[in-house]
Amino acid sequence: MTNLHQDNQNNLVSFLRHNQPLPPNVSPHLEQQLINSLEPHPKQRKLRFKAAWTVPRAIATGFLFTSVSFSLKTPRIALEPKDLENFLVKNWHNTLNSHSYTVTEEMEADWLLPSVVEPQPALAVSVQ
Amino acid sequence: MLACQQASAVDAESETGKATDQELIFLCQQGDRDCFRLLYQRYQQRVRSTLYQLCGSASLDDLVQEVFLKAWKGLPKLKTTKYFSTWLYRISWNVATDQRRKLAKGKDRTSLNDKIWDKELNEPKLTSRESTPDLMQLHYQDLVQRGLNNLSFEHRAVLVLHDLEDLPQKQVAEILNIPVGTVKSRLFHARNSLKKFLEQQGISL
Repeated sequence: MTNLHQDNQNNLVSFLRHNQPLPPNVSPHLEQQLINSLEPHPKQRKLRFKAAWTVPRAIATGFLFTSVSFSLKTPRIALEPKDLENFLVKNWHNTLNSHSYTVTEEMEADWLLPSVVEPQPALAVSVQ
Repeated sequence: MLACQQASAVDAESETGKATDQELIFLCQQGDRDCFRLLYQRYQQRVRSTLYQLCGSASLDDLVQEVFLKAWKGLPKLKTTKYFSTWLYRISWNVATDQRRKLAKGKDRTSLNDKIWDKELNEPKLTSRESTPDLMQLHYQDLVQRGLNNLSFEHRAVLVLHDLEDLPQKQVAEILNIPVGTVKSRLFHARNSLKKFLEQQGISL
């Protein structure tokens, strides 16, 4: 019974395989059309994106670096009188003050305590 | 067993100097289109035949193209390359199911298209295999096609993959994402229905 059933199954399968409907012929352009429509994989896209942005990035970085270093090296020019005044006060105030103070101090010291003691003429009274 | 069969196929390919599927898949994953062309040439007939049995000849080229485009997109994510063929059949099954849903919704199908569809399915075609058309064979092909169309989509899929594409039950189960037991029962019912249909048409097996 089982063998008979198995034989029937085999007969059916071989009949189906032998007479299976075949698909229509493939279009000759289908293969090339498919290959043309393949998009690059995300990895490749990322690589391309990176490669495309490498040069502009390098230029931008270089420009930024140059401009920053140039502005640091070049003395700033005060365009407004106020700026100039502030600049002078900020940079020279202490220097001038300290110098003038020293000078004044020395002058005062000189004035108060003469460093050279000049010999005073002895008062002599001669009785002749 | 499936893995052994695939491994032996790979060995055979290596011995003959052909690039193995796994080598081709690896290169495709790196974006090599020429290798994908080779994979297409190896598998397109099977994909085409399966889709034809499931969906008919209407927009068959588009469906084949869709399967391979999806395969190309999904290849970088494919880790187990030795199951490529199972994976490709699964994509084909998904594309066929989508197409069937579209047709069921009636978006792509008008009443005129219905007639064309039925006519296409009921008229066996002369293909390159049939250089001299044998009328009896054409008749048998017509019967098989009609018999397949009488089956439900799920039963037809199991029968096409197992009996016509000669895939083992385990692989069919993986492709359709169903248990092997379900494959067996669907196969049993599909064969019985088809046999009954053929007997009604005067063919005794």
